[in-house]
Amino acid sequence: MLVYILRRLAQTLLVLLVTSVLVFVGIFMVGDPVEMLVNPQADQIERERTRVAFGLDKPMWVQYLLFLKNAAAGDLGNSFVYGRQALDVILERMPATLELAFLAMLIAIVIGIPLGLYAGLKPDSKVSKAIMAVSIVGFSLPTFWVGLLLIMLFAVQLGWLPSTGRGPTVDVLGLHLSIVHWDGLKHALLPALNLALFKLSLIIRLTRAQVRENVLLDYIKFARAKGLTRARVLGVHLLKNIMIPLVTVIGLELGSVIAFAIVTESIFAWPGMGKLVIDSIFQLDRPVVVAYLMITVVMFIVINLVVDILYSVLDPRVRLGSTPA
Amino acid sequence: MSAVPQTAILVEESPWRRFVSQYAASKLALFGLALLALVLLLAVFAPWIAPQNPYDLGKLDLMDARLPPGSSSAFGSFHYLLGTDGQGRDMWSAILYGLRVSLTVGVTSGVIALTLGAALGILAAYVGGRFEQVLMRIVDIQLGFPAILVALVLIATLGKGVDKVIIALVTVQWAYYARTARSAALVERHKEYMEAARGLGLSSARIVLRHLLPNTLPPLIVVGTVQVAHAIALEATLSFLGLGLPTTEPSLGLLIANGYEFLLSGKYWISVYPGIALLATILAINLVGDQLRDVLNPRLAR
Repeated sequence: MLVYILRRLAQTLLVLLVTSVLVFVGIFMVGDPVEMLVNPQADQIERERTRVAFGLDKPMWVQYLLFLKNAAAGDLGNSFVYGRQALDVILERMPATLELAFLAMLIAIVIGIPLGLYAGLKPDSKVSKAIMAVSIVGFSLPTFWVGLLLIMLFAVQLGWLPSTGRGPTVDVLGLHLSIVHWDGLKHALLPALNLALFKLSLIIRLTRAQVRENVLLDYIKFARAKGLTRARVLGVHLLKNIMIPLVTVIGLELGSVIAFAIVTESIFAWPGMGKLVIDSIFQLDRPVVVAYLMITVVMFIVINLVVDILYSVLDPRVRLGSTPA
Repeated sequence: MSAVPQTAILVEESPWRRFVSQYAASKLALFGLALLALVLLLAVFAPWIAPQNPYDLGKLDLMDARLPPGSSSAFGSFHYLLGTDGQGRDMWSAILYGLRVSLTVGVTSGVIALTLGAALGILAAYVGGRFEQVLMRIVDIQLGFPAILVALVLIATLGKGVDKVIIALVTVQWAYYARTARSAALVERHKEYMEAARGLGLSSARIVLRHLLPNTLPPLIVVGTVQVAHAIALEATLSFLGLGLPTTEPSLGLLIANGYEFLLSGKYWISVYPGIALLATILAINLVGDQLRDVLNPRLAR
């Protein structure tokens, strides 16, 4: 187990290094940030001064090594636009994104598992067919378009919910959260629903497939034969067994929800890190883009690792290290 | 399935006919196929069907901007079936051309990714060793990250443009094909026909291309349909964010993005109709893909 974790951590460092080189080299090929930094009337001398001030006059590899040296000390460079530590700028926006991601995941789980259970237990009923039809449409709809539809329906036509911004936030243990405030929650509802829809469809389909596979197995027959109540057979025996693959997928999807928040945040003007990185790409704010990617890569690797470990805890048959994944 | 099939008919049944009849067993899948055919026809024949060339700026009239569906032009008798956008462009024509761009980008990237991924995957299964290990490790790591993130990194570093978007989409997709091709090839390589081919002393190239490749195709086709749908959705998302195709070649995603600013003032048609076209395309591909998976999957064969 320990060896496994250590090996994964070594792999993490390698992936980080490769990503950083790729991003660093690549980002040098698009545009000159100096053009964005100085005012358009600036003369050549001022441009040069800015270039030197930001270290942009040095060759690419020197800049990269400097970046690496500073990154090792936890310094990912100053944002060109905000003039502060890029890492701080991103961390400030992180709670907003995580809040949205968790709310979306919660919606997907709370609605998805019961619907999937129903569709799996009664595969031939009309309601189940409707659930599956909705889930295939939910699968096909691109997130951004669902976002537009939600805005059109709930914000423009019905006027029930606000379509942009985050609303008031409440300070909880140093984190600014909006879901603990009624108005804030109203702001979060549409973007979270938007983000949840794809995962909802996924969880419905997965739960249904698992249920249909499991109800045919002997342990369910045996539990029934013992005379257990239906509720107990379903709620304890069945649910426990379908949980294993569900936990894996939910865990892995959490990462993808954070990534897809980029789209949702852009549509709903939600001030999270996804919107920040899109803005930064347009503003050629290199340090923020690089820092965002570094943080996301780390986050992903941590999530994948935690899911793998959780998997081995939930399912004793899985041995870490021997699996090819 | 009928209870007692007549053996005489079964003997005459070719694999192709069996495939067709199995596919046609689902009405939903037939609907998907019809929808897909319609979408493809509209995209291919867009220049002949579209009443207006939406990118000939000389034909556009700002006086006709943002007309609701069914309006007629302020001058002349041009009829705007689905309304016009902010520049007075006929939405129906713009959608047809947008469909063409979206499908071209999606299918092109799909074909390149399929070729690349299948070649690497089959090679990995055939050669094995270090090459296989390293390749599959790369595949695993890459698939650990969501497509949107990988695509975004590439676009952020490469810049915008049709070629860049295709590169990004290929990079996102190749790993799925490589993994599928490898696992299919691993199963196939131990089958008897492969041994027979080796026993006949055929060259490696001939064995791989003529014997191994055709037998790994069914799962690749299944993955391919799903991936093309993903690619189209991803391209639309990137274009919507302003990070995809340039405005000179507007795909459906860009059309939707252009209509976004008018959405809040109730001018829904500029965004909604391209969105419906996008949805119909992706839905059709997914429906066909779903059925192909069921029909081509040997484990589910009755």
